[in-house]
Amino acid sequence: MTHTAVHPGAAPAFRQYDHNPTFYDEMFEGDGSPRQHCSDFFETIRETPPDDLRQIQERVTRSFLHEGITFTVYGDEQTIERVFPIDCLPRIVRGDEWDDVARGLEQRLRALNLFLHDIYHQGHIIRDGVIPAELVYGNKHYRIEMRGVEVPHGAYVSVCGTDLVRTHDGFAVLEDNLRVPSGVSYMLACRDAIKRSMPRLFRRSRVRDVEQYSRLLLETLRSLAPPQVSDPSIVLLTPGVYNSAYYEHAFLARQMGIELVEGRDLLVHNRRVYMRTTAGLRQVDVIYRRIDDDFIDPVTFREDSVLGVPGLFHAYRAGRVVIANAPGTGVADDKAVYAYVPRIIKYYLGEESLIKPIPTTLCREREGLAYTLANLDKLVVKMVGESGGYGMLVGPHASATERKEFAAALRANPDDYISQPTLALSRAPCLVGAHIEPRHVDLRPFILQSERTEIVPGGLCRVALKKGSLVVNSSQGGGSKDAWIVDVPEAAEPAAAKSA
Amino acid sequence: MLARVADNLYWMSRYLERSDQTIRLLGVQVRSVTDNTSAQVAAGWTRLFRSLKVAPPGGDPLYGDQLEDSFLLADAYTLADFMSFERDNPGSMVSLWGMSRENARQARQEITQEMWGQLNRTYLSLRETQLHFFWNKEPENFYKETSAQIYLFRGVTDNGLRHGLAWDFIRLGRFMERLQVTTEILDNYRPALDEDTDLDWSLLLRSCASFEPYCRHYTPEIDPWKVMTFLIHEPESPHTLRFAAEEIRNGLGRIDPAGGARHPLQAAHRIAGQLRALLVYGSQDREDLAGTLAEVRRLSRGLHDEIYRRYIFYAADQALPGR
Repeated sequence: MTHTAVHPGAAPAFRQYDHNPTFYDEMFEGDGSPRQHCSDFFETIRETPPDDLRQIQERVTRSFLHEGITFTVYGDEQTIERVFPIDCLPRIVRGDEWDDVARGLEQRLRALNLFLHDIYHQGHIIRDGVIPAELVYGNKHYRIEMRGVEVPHGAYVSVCGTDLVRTHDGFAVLEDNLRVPSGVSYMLACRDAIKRSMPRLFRRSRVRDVEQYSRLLLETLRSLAPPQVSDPSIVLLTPGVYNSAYYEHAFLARQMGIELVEGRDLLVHNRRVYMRTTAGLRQVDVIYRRIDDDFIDPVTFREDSVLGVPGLFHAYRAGRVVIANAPGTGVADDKAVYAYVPRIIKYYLGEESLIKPIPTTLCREREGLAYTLANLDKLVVKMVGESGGYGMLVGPHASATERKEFAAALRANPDDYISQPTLALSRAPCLVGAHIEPRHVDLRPFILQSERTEIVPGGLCRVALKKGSLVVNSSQGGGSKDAWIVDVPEAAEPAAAKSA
Repeated sequence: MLARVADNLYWMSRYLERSDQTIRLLGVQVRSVTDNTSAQVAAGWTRLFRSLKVAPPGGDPLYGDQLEDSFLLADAYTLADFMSFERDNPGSMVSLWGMSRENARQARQEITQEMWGQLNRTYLSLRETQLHFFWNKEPENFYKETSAQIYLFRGVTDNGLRHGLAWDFIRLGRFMERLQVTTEILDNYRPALDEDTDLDWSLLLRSCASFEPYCRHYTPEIDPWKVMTFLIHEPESPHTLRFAAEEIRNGLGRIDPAGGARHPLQAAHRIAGQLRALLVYGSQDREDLAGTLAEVRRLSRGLHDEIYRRYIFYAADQALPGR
């Protein structure tokens, strides 16, 4: 059954738009009429000839190519640079809805930072029986070396990227990224490209700014510096040019005017960190690292790491340098710990979680395992401690054989798995050839925390460009689009009346 | 600035300058095909490959005496393609742009968006270009236009980038490369001074982008020895050896003011001074020409090594601590 648009006067571009009520549509109401905050945008797009839309799309893509916003695909014959796919139609979110989300994100990060401080100090939450000890201390991301380390402003996580999805029930957190979240440069680059390609529409749409992100990030990093340092030297530590997020590292370093360093540019002497400059060694005070915990210091963590800096962790423990995010934050974005976040928020803040959690079943619990096994065809099962879609089963999309194999793995190691209902991810209009079709989207806003919490209104909106796909990763046909947080004037007239 | 990034900027600039030289030599050679004898054209290819120290396809990598014969076997199209678009040839124009861009990519935080955009855009379009697109129409124009993209990059660099350390290293790389390649070009024209050939010496001036400056200084009447000394000792034309030596010395002075002013002088500053002295006050006698060029070659190699020893790959324990 198809749900072809019946909206009167539908533009040619929208003619094949599939209004499927199973999924929340970011632009249209259930009856196919545009949501009020999208109506002006819809009218404009409707009046734009498909050819013009295609040209906008091409311009935006070309600007990404020239900027070098590409990722590298390693093939047999040669390595190919692919441009990061971008869709020119923004996803539009109402300002008041966003404000609620932002409050929820702030609350969540505050609680998770308190949680991290607690589990690396007294561990009250464990003694009080709110969360099982083995989930924390047995977690592979728990860093025993971090015990007793004081972190400036208690901000273990100073840069967080939270993956949000929307269903008919509103926004929900899919995943917290508390280690080295990436994607913010795509948010900024998307915005820049969209602003240039549809300037008048953008201006008219009263979109909230995201451009201040780099400044806020720099302020956050500065406020983490040791108090005795008046003019801190801040660097961004990258794994190097072959990392898929290298573009972002260079972009942020340039925007903030700080050095982009690799492990080989740094050295530790007498528990101080120095970088090799053309004028000799210069001390470093704050390191915004974009390297995983495991690799930052071969002396303390993985000894085979060539990306890190020997002795860096000792300098960190001695308080001579600040590393952001702090090592060991991965324990709080673990998939099993995720199930406890509402309880963590309640425990530290005495508040209910403002953003709805996705009901999560722990297979480590006997009833949880039984429930998961019985409903394997309806659930998404994820492996704890994995990310990027690995070790995951999407029940409704899997074959009977796949489910059977997965069930066996599940029974063998139930502790390693959690399950969640399969979500009906919301969809947003995307330009596909000459037509506009709905595609599934998510949203990753970025939250900064030190003395204060800052959230730029927007985020990286990832799109599953393949029809029907729920996978938004760029390696698997995902792309991105701009996310507009728009303020709708109070008491605006309904769209229908306006266009009449 | 980070030592590693200085290294990247220096090489970004060297590769681009080398590409510029290659493009110019190709443009001159492609032009000479139209109005020279085949023997002259073959000699021109020989000089081109020798100046750039690239082994021609099928040629002897050791530049043996039989080399000239192998050029006669290949045709201009093959040679031009090999030097322009052959990716397996690290000295081809497109390979050099690729290397320059790769270095720029690793120094993205130090260069402006416009610089990167210009480098990246031109590279992407060169990558898509093939010789047969323009060979039968106007090959010289293609090389001229590509050259113009390099001038554009330099304009964007000089007018958009802060004239600080990054700019200094970019400039240093450019003039180091220019000094070395120009020396090789001159050395490959040198034997023709003693031979009674009908060599068109304006080709050398054009190869060094100095035809118009020469004509302003002298007259369009081309005298081989005047051409040679002009390209070595003239102080105001940007493609002469002396001009490069002055730029290098001044650049080092900006990068490390103390190193060139206090006793004992840094080795790099000393060599830069010797180089300049040789080109300003050195002998301009005909019998000393080979020796002068050899000395320029020796000093410029030593200078590169000393710059690296002092500013890029220094031992860490000698550099502690500078806040």
